[in-house]
Amino acid sequence: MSTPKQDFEQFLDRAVAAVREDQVDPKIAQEASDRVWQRLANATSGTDYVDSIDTADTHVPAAEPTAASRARIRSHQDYLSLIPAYLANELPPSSALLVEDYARESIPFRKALQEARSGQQATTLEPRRARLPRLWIALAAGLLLALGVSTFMLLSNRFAAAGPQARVLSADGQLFRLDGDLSTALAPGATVEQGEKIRTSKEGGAVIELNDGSRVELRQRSEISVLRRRGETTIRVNHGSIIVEAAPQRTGRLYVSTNDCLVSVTGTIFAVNHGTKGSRVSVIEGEVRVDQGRTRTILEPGDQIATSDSLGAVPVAEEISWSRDGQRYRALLAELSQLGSEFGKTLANTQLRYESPLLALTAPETVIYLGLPNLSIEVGEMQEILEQRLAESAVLRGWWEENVDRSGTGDQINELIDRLRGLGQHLGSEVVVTVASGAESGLGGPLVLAEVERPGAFAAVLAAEVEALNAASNDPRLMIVTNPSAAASSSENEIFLWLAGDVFAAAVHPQQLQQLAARMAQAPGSASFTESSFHGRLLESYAQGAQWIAGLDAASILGPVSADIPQQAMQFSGLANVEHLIIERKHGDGVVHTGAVLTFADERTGALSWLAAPAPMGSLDFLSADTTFAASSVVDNPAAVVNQILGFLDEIRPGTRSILESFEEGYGIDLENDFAAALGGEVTVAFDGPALPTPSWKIIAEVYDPARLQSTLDLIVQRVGQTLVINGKPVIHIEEETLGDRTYYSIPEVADALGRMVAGLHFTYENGYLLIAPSRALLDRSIQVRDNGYGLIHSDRFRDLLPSDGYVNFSALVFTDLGSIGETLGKLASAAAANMPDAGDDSLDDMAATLAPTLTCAYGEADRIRFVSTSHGGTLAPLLMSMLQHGAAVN
Amino acid sequence: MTKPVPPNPEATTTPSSRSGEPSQQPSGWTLEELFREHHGRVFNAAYRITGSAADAEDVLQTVFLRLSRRQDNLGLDEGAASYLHRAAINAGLDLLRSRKRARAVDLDSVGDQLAEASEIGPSARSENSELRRILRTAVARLSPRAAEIFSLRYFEGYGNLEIADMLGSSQTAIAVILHRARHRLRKELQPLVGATS
Repeated sequence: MSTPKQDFEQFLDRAVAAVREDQVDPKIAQEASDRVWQRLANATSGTDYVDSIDTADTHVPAAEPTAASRARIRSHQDYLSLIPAYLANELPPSSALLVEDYARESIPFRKALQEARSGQQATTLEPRRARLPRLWIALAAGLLLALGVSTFMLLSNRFAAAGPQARVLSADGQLFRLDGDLSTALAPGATVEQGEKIRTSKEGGAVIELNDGSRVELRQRSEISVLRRRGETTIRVNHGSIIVEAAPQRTGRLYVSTNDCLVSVTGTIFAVNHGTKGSRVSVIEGEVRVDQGRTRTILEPGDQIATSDSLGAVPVAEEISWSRDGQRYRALLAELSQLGSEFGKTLANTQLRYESPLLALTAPETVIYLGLPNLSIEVGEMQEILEQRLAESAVLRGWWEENVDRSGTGDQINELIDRLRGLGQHLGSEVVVTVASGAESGLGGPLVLAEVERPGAFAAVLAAEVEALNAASNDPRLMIVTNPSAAASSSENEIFLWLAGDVFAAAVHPQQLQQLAARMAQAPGSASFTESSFHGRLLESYAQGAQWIAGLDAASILGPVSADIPQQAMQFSGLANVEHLIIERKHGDGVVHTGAVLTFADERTGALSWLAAPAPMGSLDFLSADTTFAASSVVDNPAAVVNQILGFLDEIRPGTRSILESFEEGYGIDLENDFAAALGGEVTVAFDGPALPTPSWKIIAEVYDPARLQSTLDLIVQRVGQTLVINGKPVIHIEEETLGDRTYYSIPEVADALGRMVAGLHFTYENGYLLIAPSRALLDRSIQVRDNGYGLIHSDRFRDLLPSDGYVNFSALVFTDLGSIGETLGKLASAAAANMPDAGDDSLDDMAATLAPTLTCAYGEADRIRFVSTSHGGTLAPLLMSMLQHGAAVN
Repeated sequence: MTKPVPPNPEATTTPSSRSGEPSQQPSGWTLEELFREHHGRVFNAAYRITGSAADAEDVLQTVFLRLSRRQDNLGLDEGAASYLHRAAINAGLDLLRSRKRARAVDLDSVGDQLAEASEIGPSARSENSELRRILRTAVARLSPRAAEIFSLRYFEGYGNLEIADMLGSSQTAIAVILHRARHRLRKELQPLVGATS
């Protein structure tokens, strides 16, 4: 039986729900808004808005015009004259509210109203003479302040710019300037002012040029306005289609806004089609960022996005077919798409290397090893492709001359590529960079090695390059040596270059080249490095095919460092046993694979041993396809983990374990057995849903004994609650509610000692898992996702990232899709920028938005942990294209 | 002939979609731009308070008229949405209070109307209509601050923290005011609870 209080709560819930569900017909709302805007526009353009508003008030009951309804507040006396009608409830609601509004905001008005209510005669509201000096001082100060602010804003050019923002280049049919009910025809050469609306007629079209050189082509029946503020231009599209050929933006961005999306660019060609059903944005060239609600999308040439499901996709070529430059745009789109595709294929075709003769020449003391592909051939191929395309395509040539050549970037790029090709074409497929330990012996510092295929030609190119570089700058000075034994260092900033047969070497110390000469003189395979385990690990990686490879002799690096680290910490972390770290990166099929192997001298120990062998992860089933971040891992024995942590804490701070034992005794629990032993060892932490206002975090932990765990949690919360009460602090407690077969638990939010509310949490048990989230709705959604069987792990964006290898399961994984939370980062950046003028949030937004979804997996084996990371970062082609454009913009 | 305002789909969305929109806009909007961006939100908030499209129209007009008088309206960039939201609620509540003064509508008469409605045979729709009327009237009888906070919390769906930020108060203070508001509502509406169930 429900209590009166419960009845009331239900009643209130129903009433609140009824209010929230009460929606007005959108058409009625729109018509009302139109009417209000009409009145506001009239009122604010005149001198007396009160009169305008009241006489236009369509909701005032029809009545003969009265003095009150025609009331004006042009002076204090006007206000006084309105008071009687106000007190007699004869004023229309909006006028009455304005009377109240004046009273709220002005002490003399308020006083006059109070006096009238009390029956006193409000005599005058004119300021007293005695106050005049103060008033004049205030006015003068205000004027000075306004002047100062205006001057500052003028100087900083960060306010709404007045004056012409664009000019009409051409117009087919009629182009109108809209000003209230007036329409004025615009001819080529006419200017478009800040915020002024222009509209093309039926079967018309126009091209306007913005002050920054950007061109906007309007289709028939299109209406736009141009706003410039704070150095940024916004083209507001009220309706219709436009194509924007954005000039490179030296600072800031160019925006195109509709009422359902915001498009931003730094220099590109794109189309926006905005109508009743929504907006469609299509990209012809460059990169475009589209913000729609919480979603941010990056579009590249040929890409298209619509803001409404009912707005179907159409080919980009069709979308721009109306343009007078449609043919050119279509051709450019095709050319750029083809170019990007061919660049991508070229880079993806970088040959894998299955061995490296340079490995044997590496110094025995090497602790860092980098094997890099010689991309000069690929870069050369891309340059040839570009030149061929430029020669064949007038459209592409025109774009290149306009966007790259004109800024001088083209010459710089060609010069850089020519020099790279000049040297690189004579080298082998790989360049190796190593760093050896032992700076005291003259062997420290980097050593660069490369095979040379045509030594004679390379020597000539090298000599010419060295001469040119030394002539340009003497820091560092390049020294070509012919006999390392005779080479000597005369200053610190020298780099020694040695061509020894078919091997080229560069070093910062002559001794490094002398040692290299000694190794080259030895019989193949007799060098001591080839006998080391580090060499063996690198050899293994090469055997599987390598493009980019980095090796770290962790044992050698950590050896000297570990002396400064407490032995307990080294043992606890498991670093004492670490041997090598090898990282590889390969491109192919639009996916970048990054792998790493951390190897150990024998079996893993310490914290690094907690990671279990790959095992199924049922907790991932509870994550929806909207998940933006997830980290999951499997540990062998949670109780042992707790025990090891306690042991370590006890070692570094003796007595910790006894304190804990006292705690356990006092609370009547055994953390290791009652808590850790009840857990199964699998845990997932995720952000699954909106990040604001409350982050949709969730924790899913495998539980072997839910009853025991819940009993322990109840006990802990109860005892902690008792302690808090004793200390006069807010009580925390677990609330329990059973709905159907499920029991939900929650710890309500409480205020901390400073009065701040500490968020509560909700949890439940489902199928052997403990689910914790900030709301019950999120718990239900997690279970629903699991029941539906279509969550993150079944989504394409996750499955496309799964690495191709022999493993069925993972020991741990981290999934990130930061692009989809770009908006949140943008908000944070905006908030930060509010305190830091000129702190651009765009860079952070851009970074987040362009971060591709990434999956990093870990596999625990007996003597190693293998990591694989896959990302849809694609090849370097988009990056190169972007660099070209940004280069043009910077120049 | 009226000057049409470009439709704004966001303007008719629920509070959950309100985040993010100010940050997407270059700052320093004019009255027209503020109106274009927020008129739907203001209208809907006012409608939830007043339950009348005509009143909501008056509130919309009042809010933007007030805004037009503000010399600092350009400084509203970052907080325009929340400022206008609050303004709509307060203007709506003002309107209800002024109507209460004018027509002397009180809960007793609502109770009578409710009884009549139940005799007619209340459908779910009419019951909801009565519930809305009762709650709106009761909320308007709360203190101005309590009514505003209650409306922001329950009608507009803001969290306590958001409201505290908007009003420059603490989350605890908001929680306390909400608790008192509910207590007051319970005291006033408890007699009617049975009639609507």
